[in-house]
Amino acid sequence: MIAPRYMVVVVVAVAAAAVFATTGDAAPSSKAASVTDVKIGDVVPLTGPLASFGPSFYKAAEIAVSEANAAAKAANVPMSFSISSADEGSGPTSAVSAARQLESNGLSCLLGGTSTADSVAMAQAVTIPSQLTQISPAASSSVYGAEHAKGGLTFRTIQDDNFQAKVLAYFMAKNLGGAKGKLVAVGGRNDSYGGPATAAFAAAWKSLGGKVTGPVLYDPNALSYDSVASQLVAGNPVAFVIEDFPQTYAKVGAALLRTGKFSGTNLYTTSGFPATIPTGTPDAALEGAWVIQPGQPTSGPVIAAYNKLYASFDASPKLQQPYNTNNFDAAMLCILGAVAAHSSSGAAIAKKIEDVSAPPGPQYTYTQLTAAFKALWAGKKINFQGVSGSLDLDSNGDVSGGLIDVNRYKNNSLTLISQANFVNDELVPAKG
Amino acid sequence: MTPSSSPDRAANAAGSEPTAASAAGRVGLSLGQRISVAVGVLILLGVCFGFLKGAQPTLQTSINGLVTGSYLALAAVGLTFIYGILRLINFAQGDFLTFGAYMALLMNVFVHVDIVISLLFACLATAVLAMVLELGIWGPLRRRGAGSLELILSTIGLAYVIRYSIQFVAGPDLQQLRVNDISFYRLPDGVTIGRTIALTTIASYALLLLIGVLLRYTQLGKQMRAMADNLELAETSGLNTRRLIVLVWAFGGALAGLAGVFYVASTGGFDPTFGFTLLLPLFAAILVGGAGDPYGALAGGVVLGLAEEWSTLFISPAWQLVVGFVVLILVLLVRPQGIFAPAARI
Repeated sequence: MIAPRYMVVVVVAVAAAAVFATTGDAAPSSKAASVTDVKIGDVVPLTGPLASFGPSFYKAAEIAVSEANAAAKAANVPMSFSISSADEGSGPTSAVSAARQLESNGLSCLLGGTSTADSVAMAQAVTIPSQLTQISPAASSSVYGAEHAKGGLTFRTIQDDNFQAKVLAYFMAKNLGGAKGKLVAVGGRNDSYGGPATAAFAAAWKSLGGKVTGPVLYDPNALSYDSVASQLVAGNPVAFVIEDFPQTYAKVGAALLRTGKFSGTNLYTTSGFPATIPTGTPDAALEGAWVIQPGQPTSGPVIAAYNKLYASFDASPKLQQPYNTNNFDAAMLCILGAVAAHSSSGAAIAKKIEDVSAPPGPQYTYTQLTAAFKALWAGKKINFQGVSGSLDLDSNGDVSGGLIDVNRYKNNSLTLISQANFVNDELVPAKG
Repeated sequence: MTPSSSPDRAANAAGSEPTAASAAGRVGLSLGQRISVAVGVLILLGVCFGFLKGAQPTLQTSINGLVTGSYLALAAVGLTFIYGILRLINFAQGDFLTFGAYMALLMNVFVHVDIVISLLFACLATAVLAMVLELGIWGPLRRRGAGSLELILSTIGLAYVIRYSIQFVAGPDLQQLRVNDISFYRLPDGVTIGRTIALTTIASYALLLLIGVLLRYTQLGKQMRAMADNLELAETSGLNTRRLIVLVWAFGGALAGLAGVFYVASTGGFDPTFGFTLLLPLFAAILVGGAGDPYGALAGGVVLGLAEEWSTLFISPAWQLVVGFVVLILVLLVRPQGIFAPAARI
């Protein structure tokens, strides 16, 4: 017969074993139950003046989420990612409405908008009050950049307009055989994109000794642009800089051609014009035009893998539009920020965006996402290299430096002429 | 009194100038005198601007202003007629323009039909659309006692339905008719005007003149004006107002379709939202000229077009649309009934 005290020990031991065993079995299911869901909302233009970009942008973000879910599983990181979209429409009102619609489902990050005016409105009406992280793939104006000071929640994966304007001025000076005394007509849409972009270029061109007509700003809803065109061609400028969206430029370009003093070959812009001359725009208004845009690597394993992935991903469209990789990177930064923060809180993610995108730390690309997740989950620092470039976000939430694409419309298509880095006020051809 | 003689008499009474209904209290200039004064003032202003800013820019902006004025006038005539007769502000008028443009697109680009035939088809289709809406929605609403607010809200709702239906079918992307919108005529002193623009502008003004003649001298025109002056009196006099109202909608719809096609053929690419952006300037044009008065809509369109384009001689084009509304406010302050409407209307 077993003594009572031994009986107590046996009972305690059996109970402990049972508890241990139960705990051991329960551990995975408990882990599974605590998976953090990071919801991303993507405000993309499906209607309105930038509609040609929207489907490609959303597809890029969907790819990022799909890759992230696969990596989270492989890295045993208890997080999942989902994405939904809403139409940015044709202006700030519809963009804010779209952002609110997405936010009502509970969001961690908001991607978008595509234009500066929409992005600023979304930041002020939704992102900042709701403490979300907002990352725009295309809002390049300094007006959007200023929103970062209001709580550090807004970021972008595209270069600032002031930087682009300076690069454009230097490129034009080189292309036109110097800037000194040369008259350039500067025009653009009168909004938070066109105003600052044209002013920045005019300042940069004047600083090189050039002269400008304008900036001539116009209402994107004007009934006619013929008087605008007359003002732009006055004084027979050697070149034209127009900062506009494709939909409005279709009319402005036609009006410029009707003056008889304009040709697409004399046009320079940093605007986001699409891969082919859009229907409705006279070919002569864009054929030969120089489009200086933030670039992305054209060769190397990362872009090659991305292009393959984009082509095989089961969603339309098949054609990539400019800046779609910026939206991919925007989604990636949100995802990596969430993993680094171990949280789906928008404010917590925002605090990690700069950390995951800039030195110091070992570099990871999206093709090494599982390893990046493991490192971040373990509390290590990484320096994510995007598909659109190295990113390296600074303390203002802006991309620092990066590649410049020199494009030109040839045979109806936007053709990459060269790639360069802007170093010491000079465009230095990119390696590779 | 025979049944047929009654409408004629009502129309003849309304057709006289000034009309019997409004003769009392009308003080001032006849229609011809008002046109002469308006044209004289505009020419005087043009000459002044020429001295101040130079002949070339003034001439160029004047031409541009007359071009813009032609689109506005053409679309505003239909709008103001509907308002004059039914006191209905048609917020769907801008989208009638869009509908017309897309009907022309359908024929011209997808069926590969000549632009003139496409234009006629667009006018017909928009007229049919306006008639169907009158017979199916606005007419029944009025007969069931719907007030102005309900009717206006129905036009706003229809505007959205038309716009987004077009977008659903044709997509949001820019479209373009198969017309040459970039070739131009070179006039003296470096002034230019697009060939298609010149053609559509001349056609617009010729048509507006024809409408003026139609309203003044034909039986139908007199009947329309009789209804605009006093719908109940016209009805009491034996006019078949229900049939005439449908005709007025058809007339307004056809003009809107025509204005839509002329506008997009001249300015270039268009999308389903373009008509909506023209709506406020159209309202401004009819208010400047005098709400309910077709001659006023013509005058208002031209005044607004010139004001907007001339303003670019002095201030940034970014303010073009604002200038139009400043002119509207000034006109309303000085002459609340509009430039062309007789004083008795207020």
